[in-house]
Amino acid sequence: MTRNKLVIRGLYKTYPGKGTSAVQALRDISLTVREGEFVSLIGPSGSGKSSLLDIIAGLSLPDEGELTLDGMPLAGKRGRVSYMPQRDVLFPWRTILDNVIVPLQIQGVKRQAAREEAARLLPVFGLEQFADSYPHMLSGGMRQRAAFLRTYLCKRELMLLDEPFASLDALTRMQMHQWLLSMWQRFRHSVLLVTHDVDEAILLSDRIYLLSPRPGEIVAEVAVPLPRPRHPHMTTDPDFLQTKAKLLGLLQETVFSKTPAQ
Amino acid sequence: MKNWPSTGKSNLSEETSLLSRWFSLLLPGGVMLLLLVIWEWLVAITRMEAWILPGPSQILQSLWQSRALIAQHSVQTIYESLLGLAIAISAGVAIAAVIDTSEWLRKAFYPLLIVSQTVPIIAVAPLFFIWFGYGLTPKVVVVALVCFFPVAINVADGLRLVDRDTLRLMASMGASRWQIFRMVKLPATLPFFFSGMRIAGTYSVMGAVIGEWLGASKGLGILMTRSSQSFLTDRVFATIVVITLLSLAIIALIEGVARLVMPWHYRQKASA
Repeated sequence: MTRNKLVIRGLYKTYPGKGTSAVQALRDISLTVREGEFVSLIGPSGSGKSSLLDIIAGLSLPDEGELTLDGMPLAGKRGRVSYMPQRDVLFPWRTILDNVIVPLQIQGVKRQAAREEAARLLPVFGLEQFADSYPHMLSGGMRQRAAFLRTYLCKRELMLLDEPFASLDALTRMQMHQWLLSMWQRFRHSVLLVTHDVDEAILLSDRIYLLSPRPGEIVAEVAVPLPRPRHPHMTTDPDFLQTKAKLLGLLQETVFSKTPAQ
Repeated sequence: MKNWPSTGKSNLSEETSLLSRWFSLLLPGGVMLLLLVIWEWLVAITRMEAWILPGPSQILQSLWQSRALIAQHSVQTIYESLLGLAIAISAGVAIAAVIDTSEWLRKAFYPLLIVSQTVPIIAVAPLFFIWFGYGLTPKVVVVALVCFFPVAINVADGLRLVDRDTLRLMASMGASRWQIFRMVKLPATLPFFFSGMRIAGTYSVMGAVIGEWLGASKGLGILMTRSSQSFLTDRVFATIVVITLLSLAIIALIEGVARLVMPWHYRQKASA
């Protein structure tokens, strides 16, 4: 068994609401991401996924619970993990090359050195012809690639991906899955991916956690039996379909029963 | 899997945009020319006295004849305008930046900024003459005050409206306050700063002229006052033309700097 990267034990988070209506966002969350493991977190809107990512990224503090990265306390510490937000938030005033070097600059690397380092990686990420383009000139998929390269250049061993493909159309999303799989095969980061998309979670992950709606609680953990490397055509494998059936069943029992469809 | 930028299309649209840009210049220019011709013609057929309303040709003639005098007074007005504008920019940006450092400061000062904008500076101007005499200072103060608010309010708005997700991303990467300010807040606020500057630029020459009306020995404002007292109506008009041209020149200067400093903003706007 490989080493644990991220360990969360008994994490609670409540947001003070107006008056007495405090909102409990997370209840007794425990999860693990091992070294080099791709883990997904599936949950409906309002299941506190973003609150959880905020806490892991050090943007907010848990009320209770333990949070460690490589065995070291992580709560409230920023810049320890690579965080890719839902929107690409590329800076419109910077070219793609200058956008992806932002984390390097924050870590104190000089602009020229940072550019040289990033320029070597652009071809790997399929962005070489866009080095001097501005974000608005790129398609959604390409922008997401640039955002991913920027996340990669944070150079942290754990990556948090917050619904990175949610805003893309279905075909582009399929392309991006294939692309992300090849990237991951190459770099083998530990990844925690938050998503709504059951297919996406199965195709990409080694393990999947299911989060219930508010308050967010982990209601199931499912291991994906598909071999690596993965390919998009595996979505028709019997193993894939079996896992999907299992997940949908669990969703039905735990998640949907708690939230009447709107 | 290739997503090429559509270069062929953008070439075509560039051509049409150039054409429509020429057209959008020619059209109002033509209308203006037409109006001037009508003006000239009306003055001629009604035999209007020149001291009541001179025709455009006479105004042009007067402009040429008193060019040395007007140039001499213009220098003073330009000096006051630019000095006042420079003070307004420094103070406006500084105050907006300070307000942005804390929610409390913003809540305390932002409403005051908005309210104080409604104080008619022009009505207050006579006070400056009591306090600062009749030299350069009161004019510069009027210009600075008039130009200060659009700059301060726009920059304050710009800083407040910086994309929250971008700030969160920067924070998650462990960026310091200074890094966040320099890498995100500053560039994100530039478009707001320049919209404030466009308004301030328009006001600056006007502020200087009004300051000079109230008492001065040099400047386009005092030249206008003197000319109207001598019923040199054509020279009043000639001065107005120069004031307008000066305002336009300052706006053009601001626009030029804006394009130089944030080319990305214009490219993005053009493609939108």
